[in-house]
Amino acid sequence: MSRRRWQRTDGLQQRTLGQECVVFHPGAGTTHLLTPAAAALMDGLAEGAAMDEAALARHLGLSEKDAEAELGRWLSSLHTADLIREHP
Amino acid sequence: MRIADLGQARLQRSLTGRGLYLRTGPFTSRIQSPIASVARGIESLYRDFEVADHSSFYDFHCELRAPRSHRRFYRPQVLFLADRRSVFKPLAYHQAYPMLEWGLNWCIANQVPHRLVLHAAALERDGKALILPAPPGSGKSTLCAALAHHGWRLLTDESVLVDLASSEVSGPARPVSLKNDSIRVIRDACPSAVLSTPIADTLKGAVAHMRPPTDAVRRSHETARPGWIVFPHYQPGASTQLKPRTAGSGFMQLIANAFNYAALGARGFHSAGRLVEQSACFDFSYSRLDEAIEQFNRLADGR
Repeated sequence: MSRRRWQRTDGLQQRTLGQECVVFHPGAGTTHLLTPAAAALMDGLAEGAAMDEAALARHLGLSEKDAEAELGRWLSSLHTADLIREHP
Repeated sequence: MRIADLGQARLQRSLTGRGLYLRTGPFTSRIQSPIASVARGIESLYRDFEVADHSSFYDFHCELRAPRSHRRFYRPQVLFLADRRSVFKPLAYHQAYPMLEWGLNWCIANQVPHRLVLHAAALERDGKALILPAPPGSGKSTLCAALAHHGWRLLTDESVLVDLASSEVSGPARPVSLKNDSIRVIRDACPSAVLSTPIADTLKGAVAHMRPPTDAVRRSHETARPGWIVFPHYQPGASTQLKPRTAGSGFMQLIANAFNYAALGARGFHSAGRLVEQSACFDFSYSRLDEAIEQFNRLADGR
């Protein structure tokens, strides 16, 4: 598994609605509906803190087997929406 | 003073002079027009609304008049001006009254910075708001007009106002716009409803407006707490079905129907979020109005 570290984009506004979550990106003016898994991933990334992918997989309770594909997909989706960025 | 107390002559003098200062819910509109059909429409459909004096602050300045060109005489047209700017293409002169209603809708959609404004109908029962967000043609105004005559208080058929801090819901309680078949449907379903004479050949087809019930006008300053957000869909032959929708997808659909969500930024996001958190979200399909009314009454009664 990659050792890349991720953090939330600054200034995001987030609300939990039932099992789902909506996020507002003030810079882009966009709003996103997150699945429960993506919302849990965002919750794992506290504001300003960075986590590596192994820690994120543990936070989500993913097995090592699932972690590579599942986590990669969610991270890619959140990164494309500019909700997370890679920690330098 | 109400429009009904003003009398036809004073109403016309106001419209042709400094303007009629018309109060609709939280807004005051200054309306000027020399067009007789505009005066007749206001006299009939706004009879229970309050008139403010000329020293009052006004939110919107609207003017309806013929263009200063040959189109005053040849195939005459009408212009709608907001703050002295023409904001629509001119329409045929006989469409002046519907143009006033569309113009007032435009003012609320574009010139209200201190509330979240939703393109939706809304009604109130027992202090709780039923919000019906939907694009044109989904049957929201028909439902709204029918419910307004079957135990629900009309808040609006077009522009729901959501308080940014509390997410309390209100509306200007203005006349309800009905199109084409809806005009006959509401005449049949609500015999006590007062409708204007339909205007044919508008961009939306035949259009008539329903006078808001007196009680709705009198209580138009009363807000309602969030209750239900229902996305209606009229489909000929469809059975009456009310299906729960998840809060997240309800939120996304709600903001897609907001006029000024993007302009409000984070304030709009949190206001819409609070509204959804405090409401139950549903999808609703129907073709029979009597069944639809019964369904909403069951919803309000918790059955």
